[in-house]
Amino acid sequence: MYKWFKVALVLGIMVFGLGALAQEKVVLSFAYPTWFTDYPRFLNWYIPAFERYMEARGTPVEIEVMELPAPDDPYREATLLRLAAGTHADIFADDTFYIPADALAGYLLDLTPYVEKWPEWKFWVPAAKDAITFQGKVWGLNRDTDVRPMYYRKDIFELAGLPVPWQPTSWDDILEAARTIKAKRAEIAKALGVSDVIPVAFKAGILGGEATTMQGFYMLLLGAGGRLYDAASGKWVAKSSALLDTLKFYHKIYIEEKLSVEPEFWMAGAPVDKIHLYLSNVGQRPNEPALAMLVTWDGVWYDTANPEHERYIPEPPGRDAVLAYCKMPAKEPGAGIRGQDFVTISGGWGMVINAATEHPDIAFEFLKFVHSKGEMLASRIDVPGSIRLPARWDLTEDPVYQKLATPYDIFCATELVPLTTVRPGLTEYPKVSDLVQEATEKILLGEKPEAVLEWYAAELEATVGAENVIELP
Amino acid sequence: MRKRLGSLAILLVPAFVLWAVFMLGPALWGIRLTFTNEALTGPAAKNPQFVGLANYHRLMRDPRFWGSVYRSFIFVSGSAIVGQAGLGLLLAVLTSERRRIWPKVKITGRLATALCWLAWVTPETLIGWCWISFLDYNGVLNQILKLFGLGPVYWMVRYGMLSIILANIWWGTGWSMMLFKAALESIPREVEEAAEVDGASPWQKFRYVVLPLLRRPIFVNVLLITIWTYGVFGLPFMMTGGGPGHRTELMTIYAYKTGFKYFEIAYGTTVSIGILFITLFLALVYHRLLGRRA
Repeated sequence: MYKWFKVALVLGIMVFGLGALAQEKVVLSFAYPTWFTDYPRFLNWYIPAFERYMEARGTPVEIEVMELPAPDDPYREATLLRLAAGTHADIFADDTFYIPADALAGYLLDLTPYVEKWPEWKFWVPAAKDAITFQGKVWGLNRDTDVRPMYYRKDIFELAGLPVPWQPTSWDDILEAARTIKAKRAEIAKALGVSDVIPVAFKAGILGGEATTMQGFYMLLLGAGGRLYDAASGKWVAKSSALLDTLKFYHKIYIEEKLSVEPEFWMAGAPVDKIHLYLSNVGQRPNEPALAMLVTWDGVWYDTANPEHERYIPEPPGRDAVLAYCKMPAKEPGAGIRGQDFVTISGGWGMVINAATEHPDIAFEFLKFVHSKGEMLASRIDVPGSIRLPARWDLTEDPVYQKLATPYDIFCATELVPLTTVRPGLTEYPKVSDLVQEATEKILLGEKPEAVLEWYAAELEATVGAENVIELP
Repeated sequence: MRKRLGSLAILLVPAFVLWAVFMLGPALWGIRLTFTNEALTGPAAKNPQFVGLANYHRLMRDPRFWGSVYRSFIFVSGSAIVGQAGLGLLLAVLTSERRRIWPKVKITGRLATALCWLAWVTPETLIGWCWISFLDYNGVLNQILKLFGLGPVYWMVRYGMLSIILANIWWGTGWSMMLFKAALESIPREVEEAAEVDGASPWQKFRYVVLPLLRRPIFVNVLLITIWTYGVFGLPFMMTGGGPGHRTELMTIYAYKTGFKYFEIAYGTTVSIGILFITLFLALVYHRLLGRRA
């Protein structure tokens, strides 16, 4: 009897154990920028919904969230340290301009075989595909892209006697408006109840990080008809008149004419956050200045109408009464890249899979889930201003989606997208971007544009090799 | 005796293993790293190559590294040698309980000692935040200046090096002061009394009696704080991040940036080895000086 009891016990344990094994969940970890507007949506919707979806399909999955530091630079540092140590999340978000370097480092799973088998891949627009493709292989999936408009403050323009709506057609138009505002700054500041009025700002300095390069320097460089990388020769541009014009413009607004914040502004604290707070200051922060013109990321339009965001413009007057947008002009009409009158540039993040993951198939299931048309549409409805420029054309053409489009979304999609370009998708780009940031800081510190360009050319040569640089007229 | 040595060796094993795993191992790994082109991203992250002495060649010809060596030298001279050691000695003499300079010195002296000591035992990050909130554009100093209709000034940008030197003096003076105080107390009373009998003025007594007797503690202290200060990273990094430009980029900050901003981990380690050699060289110089004086 006792013997049978023991046998039964052992059998029981075995059955129970096997059952537990079969029930054992696959655990995947996931890292996403916590400062993104849709981060809560991942926590509250995507992850539980995906877990339910997989449970129903008979493969229980648990997604663990790995929280990384914010914003971009600390996130990047944490990402790379974890990748190098082999402890990073199975699925994570990577700014698309890092994809080439990370793919070559062997950190990313090549998704080409996965997307080829996925019937929905054909809906990706070519520009979106380009952002996540490197050396002919696909390394991630993206939901949307972005563009950069120029924002201006209608209330400040009106107080300065400038026309509203406004669309500058040259750098001189921007400078002229800035001079007009500067002449009346004390008066306007008093009327608005702010400490001062800053006419214009272009992101600059080392602390600005990638924002300096992409939303400051690049927006000017493209308008001067230049690029950092010359695709025709396959070389990095060490010198060009466009580079010099860009540096000169920085010098003009920060040093020569002092049409912007003090140069030191960009070298202390968190200047990129602060400059956005200046743009949205309508008197709710009386000890801080208000900013009249800024080129920045297109999502700012939604941040300034979101009461939970620190950039919120309170009502009254509210965003629509004070903030407006226009296209960033080239130096002169037709002087931009491809002979354009106006310019902009696109970037965006991709979701990638760690090459070291033990469950690549399930990780790709998660990517498919998040990037499905239905989920993207639901996200668009839930999070105002998200997925404005979808990577999938079937979403763009969806009637429900189209009904959600605001005039601003239509402006971005129809006026800016045709003008846009991207940063060079090359391993060396992040390093070149660091040099650009340093070059703008040198201007801020009072160095002459010509001298800064000499410095840039020498440093670029040291960074990418003398055989990989070119001097253009 | 032999048996005792044997058991001693056994007892040392756990400590040695810990030291080997957490100190020696990483150090050797670091040295190995400097002969490769290992990076945290890009092709070199996947297939690091052995590059021989290329990193050291680059270090020798790297103007940014030598610039950081120069700035570290300024930082150490200003904050450790002149500031902490000089001010520490002054404070030690002023607050010395044996030679009261003015009657109330006992209370104020003890208070000053306690305050300096308090600063020294405060964690680096806290000191960093204190100084940032003091010197920041919206900080206390500018608020005070505003009352007089002055400023505001971006102190840490415009006077970056001075800011981090002052902060480091503030942080570290307590140590030198305590060390010098202890040394002062250890000088035999009779020596000073003899000088007084010979009619020496207080200054002469200090210059010709006290100071020579303090020579050894001063040398040891300067050696210690020089080495420590060359290694300081957190406080200046928090305050200025090496900026503006590279104007406050000390050797340690440059090593950090190479490794964790530019993700060139092999070269960053090489910079650290460079720092090691420079501090080692200085330690040797001090050691020789100390030996000669003694």
